[in-house]
Amino acid sequence: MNESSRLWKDMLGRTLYRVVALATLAFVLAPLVVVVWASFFSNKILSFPPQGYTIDWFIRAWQQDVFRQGFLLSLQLGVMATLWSLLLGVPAALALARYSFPGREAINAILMAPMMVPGIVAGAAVYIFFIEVEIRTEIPLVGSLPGLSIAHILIGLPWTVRLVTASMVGVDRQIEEAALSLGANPLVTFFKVTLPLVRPGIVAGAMFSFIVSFIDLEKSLFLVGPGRVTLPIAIVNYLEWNLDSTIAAVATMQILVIAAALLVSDRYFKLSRSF
Amino acid sequence: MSAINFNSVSKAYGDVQVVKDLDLTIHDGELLALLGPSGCGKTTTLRMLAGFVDVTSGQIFFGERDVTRLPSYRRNTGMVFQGYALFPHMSVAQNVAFGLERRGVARAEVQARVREALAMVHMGEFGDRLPRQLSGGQQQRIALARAMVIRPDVLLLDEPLSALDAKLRLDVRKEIRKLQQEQKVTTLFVTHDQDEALTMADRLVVMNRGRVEQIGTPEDVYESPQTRFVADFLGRSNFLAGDVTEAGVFTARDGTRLAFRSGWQAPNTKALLAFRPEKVTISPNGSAGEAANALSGHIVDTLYSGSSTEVSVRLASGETIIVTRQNSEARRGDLTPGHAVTITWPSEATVVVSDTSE
Repeated sequence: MNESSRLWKDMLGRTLYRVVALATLAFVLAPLVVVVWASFFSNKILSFPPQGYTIDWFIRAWQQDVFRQGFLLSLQLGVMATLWSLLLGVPAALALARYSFPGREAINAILMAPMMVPGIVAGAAVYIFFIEVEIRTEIPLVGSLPGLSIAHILIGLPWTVRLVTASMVGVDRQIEEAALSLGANPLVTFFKVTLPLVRPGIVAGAMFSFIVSFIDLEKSLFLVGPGRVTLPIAIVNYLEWNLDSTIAAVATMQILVIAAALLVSDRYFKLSRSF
Repeated sequence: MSAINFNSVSKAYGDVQVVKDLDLTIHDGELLALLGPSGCGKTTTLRMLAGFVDVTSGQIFFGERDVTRLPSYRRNTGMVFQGYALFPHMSVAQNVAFGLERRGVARAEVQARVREALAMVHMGEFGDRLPRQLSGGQQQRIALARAMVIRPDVLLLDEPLSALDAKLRLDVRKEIRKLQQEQKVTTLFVTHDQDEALTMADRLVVMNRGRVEQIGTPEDVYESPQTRFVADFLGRSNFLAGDVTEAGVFTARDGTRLAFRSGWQAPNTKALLAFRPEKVTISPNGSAGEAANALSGHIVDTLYSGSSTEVSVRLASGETIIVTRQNSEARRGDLTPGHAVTITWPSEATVVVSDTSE
């Protein structure tokens, strides 16, 4: 093979690589771009091409109770799921990463289970469980905020456990031992040494719990009650009878919230690599 | 500063005895090296001293203080780890200050002592750096400063040089030894590198299978090993089977009477005669001269290794003796395999060891 044909093949390879990469990126981004774009169309019915642009749909969406309350409820659930899954998940991850004890693998599997079981199945199971509890104790869980919260904690928990465990594995046990030998008791060692080192994992875990809770549809489907509907469910309900850009505006807001969460966690993940 | 005492300390994990009935004293201000193959219990011993591993039975004393049940953070030990173990999110100065802050030392004094400790390891300029901005050797110096600044009762060095490259290892070795002697800090040094143990230690302990094989100055242990294991593990040794027939006389299998300096002397017992390859001289057959111990045989193999040549000599008894010849010797002599030779070595370089450990 001569020099120029090899060069030509190199060029072709590199161009092909770029084309495939860009095509993949376009494939992933196109639906998002279209949704955001469509949320500004002035067309009465969601259609193409746009006849003009407006921000009315955002105002209309906010004026509709289901969306405003759905957004606030999803936000509230997301925050709640995040906090509780941190509270339960961080200590669990520390124990799983640091100690070996009987049943360790089983506990790990149970904590990961909500990620493995299809959401609709898990949602149905939680629903049936709540009904059984309600029958026996008369505590109303189905359709209540605590009931919904419990389900959302289950959605977030595997993410915090997995991500914090992963960052714990990267922490050299010797570093904690160094702190102990220098006179730091276990509590001080945890707060001064371990926690700063796993913070990127905790932040990422928190962000992911929030996001998966915020966008969850299947698990919540059985558990919402009258007047208490999460944003994804509100969207589905609305879509059943309407087709206008309100839905695009709502989705745009959802995308914004998630993008913000992702950007924050990405920043921390990059920080963690520079250690 | 204080002496450290292990009082019949044992450690078992389930049925596995890792350390058995250890009695050991580290004298005030000395550097004691723990040497042994992996799994011999040396690291467990160090970790029991640090408080990272509970003892199964026995006691550990820092001077008069019984620390056996004290957690590591109340023992006042300074530890240097193999992997440096600096806090990656803190500056060099914060790393060194960590132990002082835990002790509630006033801020002004903390700063003064951190400065002093960094100057001590020639890292005075690096206080504001993060550990990852330093080389391995520099990181280990910071780790040393961090461990020594708290004025520990005992300094624990856990293979501190093994992550460094060969040249740097020699430098840091000298530096640790110099600081340890200047500060007169009682030190336990765990290593599997016999060179390190021989050059740095005031006394060294050879451990095997959870037991102490021998304790002594490096010279003592090297020149007068008491067991086959020690003679073989520390440096190399030639062994001849035979019996001690009377005090100071060893009779080899072929009946040759050989003299030895010290060792296990109970008469009429099976024993091994041990001597170092570098103590043996090779000469043409029949020219033994006045040497105390002489045996004849023939050369089977030679191995050139730069500064020296290793010669294998098969004796009439069938046993093989290794001889190390310095290549600086002007007359190389005939080392052709098959050549008949006489090997001689002085009785002062000969000991008798027990054969129990193998």
